Amino acid sequence: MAAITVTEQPQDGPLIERRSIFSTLLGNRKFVWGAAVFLAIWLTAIIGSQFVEPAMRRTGAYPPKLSPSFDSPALWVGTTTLGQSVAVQWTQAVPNSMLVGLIAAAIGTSVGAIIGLLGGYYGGRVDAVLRVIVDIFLSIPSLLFLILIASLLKGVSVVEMALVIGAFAWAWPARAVRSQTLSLKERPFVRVAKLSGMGNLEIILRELLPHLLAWLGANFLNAFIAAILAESALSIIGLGPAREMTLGMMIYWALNFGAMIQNMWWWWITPVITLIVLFLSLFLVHLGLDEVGNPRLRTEQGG
Amino acid sequence: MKQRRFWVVTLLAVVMGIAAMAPALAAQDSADATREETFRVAIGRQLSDPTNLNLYAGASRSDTGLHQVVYEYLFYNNLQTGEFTPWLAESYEYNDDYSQLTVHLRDGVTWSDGEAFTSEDIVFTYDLLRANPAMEWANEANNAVASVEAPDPLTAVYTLTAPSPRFHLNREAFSAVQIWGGLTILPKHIWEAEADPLAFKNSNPVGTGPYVLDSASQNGLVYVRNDNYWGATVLGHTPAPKKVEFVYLGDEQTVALALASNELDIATIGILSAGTFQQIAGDNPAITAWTNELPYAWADPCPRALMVQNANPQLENPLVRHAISSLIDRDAIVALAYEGTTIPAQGVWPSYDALTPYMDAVADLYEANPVNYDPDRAAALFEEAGVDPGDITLRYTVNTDSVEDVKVSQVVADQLIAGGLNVEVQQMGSAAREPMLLAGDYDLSFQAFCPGYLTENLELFHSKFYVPLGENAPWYERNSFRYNNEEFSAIVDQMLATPPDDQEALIPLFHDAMSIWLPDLPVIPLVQAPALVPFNGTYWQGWPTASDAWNMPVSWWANFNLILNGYPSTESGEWVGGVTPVGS
Repeated sequence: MAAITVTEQPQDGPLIERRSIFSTLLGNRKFVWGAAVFLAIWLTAIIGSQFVEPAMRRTGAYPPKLSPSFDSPALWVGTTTLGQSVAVQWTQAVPNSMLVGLIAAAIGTSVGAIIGLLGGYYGGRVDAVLRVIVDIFLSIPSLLFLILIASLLKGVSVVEMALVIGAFAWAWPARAVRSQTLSLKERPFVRVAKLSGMGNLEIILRELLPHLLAWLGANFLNAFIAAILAESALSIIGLGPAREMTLGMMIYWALNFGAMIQNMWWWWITPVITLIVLFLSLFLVHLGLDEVGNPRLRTEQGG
Repeated sequence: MKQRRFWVVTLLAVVMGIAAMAPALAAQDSADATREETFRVAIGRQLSDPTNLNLYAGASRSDTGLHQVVYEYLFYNNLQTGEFTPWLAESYEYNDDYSQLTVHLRDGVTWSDGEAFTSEDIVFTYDLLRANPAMEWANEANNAVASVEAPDPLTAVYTLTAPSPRFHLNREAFSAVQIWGGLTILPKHIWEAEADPLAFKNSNPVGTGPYVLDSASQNGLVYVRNDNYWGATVLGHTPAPKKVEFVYLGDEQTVALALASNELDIATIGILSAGTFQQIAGDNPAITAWTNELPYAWADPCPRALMVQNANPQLENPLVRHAISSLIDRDAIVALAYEGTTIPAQGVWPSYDALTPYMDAVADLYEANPVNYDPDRAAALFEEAGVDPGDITLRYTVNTDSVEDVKVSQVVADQLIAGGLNVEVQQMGSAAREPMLLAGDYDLSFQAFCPGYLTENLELFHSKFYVPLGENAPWYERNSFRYNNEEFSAIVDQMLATPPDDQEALIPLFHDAMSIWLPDLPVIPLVQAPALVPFNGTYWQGWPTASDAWNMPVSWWANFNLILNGYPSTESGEWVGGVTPVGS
């Protein structure tokens, strides 16, 4: 095996680079810990939800207001006023919240990248029009608009919620990508590509986009957690997907039923801690990516 | 580095967001009245149009102080003691065939601007409603009253459209407070100047009541005592609080904290759950309710039922409605959504002792048509009807402004889904829900059935209120569910023509009516109404409780006026009740 690797290496440059980035990432403690915690939460929820039967989700499935006990996994984090298991709710809430993050971040990042690349690369009228639209969206206080839209749509589903949040998540990436594109397109390799007869679209996709991937990946992580937090904010004020469970809706129902004042701490603390841990784990992943992508930030252990 | 700043800022925002959850309540005392002199009531909703105080122009806005302390009524019915207290009036009498009612008014009553209150004001109000049928209340008033005459300033003679011995109990056509409120008499000298009584905002309302409006905002209305109140001279008594506030503070948690810290005197019905009440009452001994143990709640006379759209082809078969009813476990609703503060209901009548002879008389009908949880019966009924519950999809319209509705809907929807039905929960605010409900655009919706009198609650199902889908029903529980049965309506007409105290005639009629109503089950009874109204006795005393049941604990009913003020006993003439300062 070693011999084969050795013979391959000189022939395939990018492969070495990719491999080394991957191994560097795996050697980066922050990245590993962050990713491990994130995956652990996700997998626990997914595996847990496999054991949940529809009847277990219903109101009155368990005695109401039980504090956490080890009698059964469903009672590990207690029950609600309506006799639902907080653990069962959690197994629904985590994938739903992550779905919101995924959809919103995907929309925000991809739309932002397309608009930024087009505006930055073509310049002129295209850029002028796109820039105005981006500036308008940037100057709108997005949470206010989200509240407005969510209250108009009253009774949204998880996916609709994600689409609404995604609709406001593209403006920042668009501006950032545009400014990077403006600088990239003046670089010699773009001119070489132009002189060698490459089309505009080809240049954007094959020459510019690869340079932006690292930044877009980082933005995706930001947008992911920002969308989860935006969903929580909207849900907590009562504009969330009422018949489905998300981390925000768990907090909303807990507040609605006076869990804080009635000392049913297990009800609201479960989603709050999950949100904090999700946030910290993605923060670590982000730090790890940053160190790998920017050698100056590497620490002894990380490098 | 920019990226890192984003994370730090976001983390900060999260921390601050969590910190902001701890609700802060700013003290709102103004210079003219201290906290000790203020009676503060928490209300359950924000006011969408706080400067429009026209009770006759859409959107129910009476119960944020207007019908409690600004306007007053001819009589106040005290369900707790059975007294029918004369207030703006002194007495009433029917003629022999119950086609006319004569009311004798109290001498010396004035509006808050000093003008005298006379029978001309009553004549004017009914004439106004007749000329403007689009005004709220106009329908019912015009249906019941042919004309009102004022032979002298202190006498009003009501000529009825049809003889009725129950007219003085009709809260929508007569100015006697029954349950919740009554028809409001308007000051002629103010309103006759208005060309369009529907567009008139009445932002500075003139009533005969002991308080006048001080300020209005989305977060509530504030009233100050009128020192020229007619009651001071005529009755020799004025209410003790200098100021009365009806304030919206926020959700249950915020209201509970305000009550716990003595910033509130009353939290109105439907805000605090039993669990939260137990918690704050355990920490603060000044906080009490109707009873000191479960159910804590006073029984409101308006039972809760699930309205079922009878005009929906999927639901027009009574067997299907009975089947759905049999899927609902009312004990679970009481235990979970109400935390034990009420009891299941088998009909739309309150479980008051006075109604026991009537309920005993229909026990045989309930034997044959049970209204309780029985999944086997549900399955048998679905089969008999030839309907697969899996083919039925029901739109359950839920009012998000009502915590009670939201809680009950979670339990009921789960029970129906467990029974094999498909349920789509549609959540919306009360403003969006109103037109949908009136037009019949729902399959299921939770509703309180008022006024809670036996005959009047049967009348809600009368076919005279039936309109086809798409047209507006008179009100939610007034047949927005589109039940239409002429035979039943004829029996109700007979009951309406019987004097309310003639039990011997009424009980057989009730049995006849129920022998149609119960097999048909036009709506699905759920639970009796709980009114958990926490009171904080730090600054005020005398609020009614089960052990001192001189009145009903109703901050949202017009009767609140007489709770604050008290009233002269109809028998002895001695002053009864009233809220007084703890210090005195």
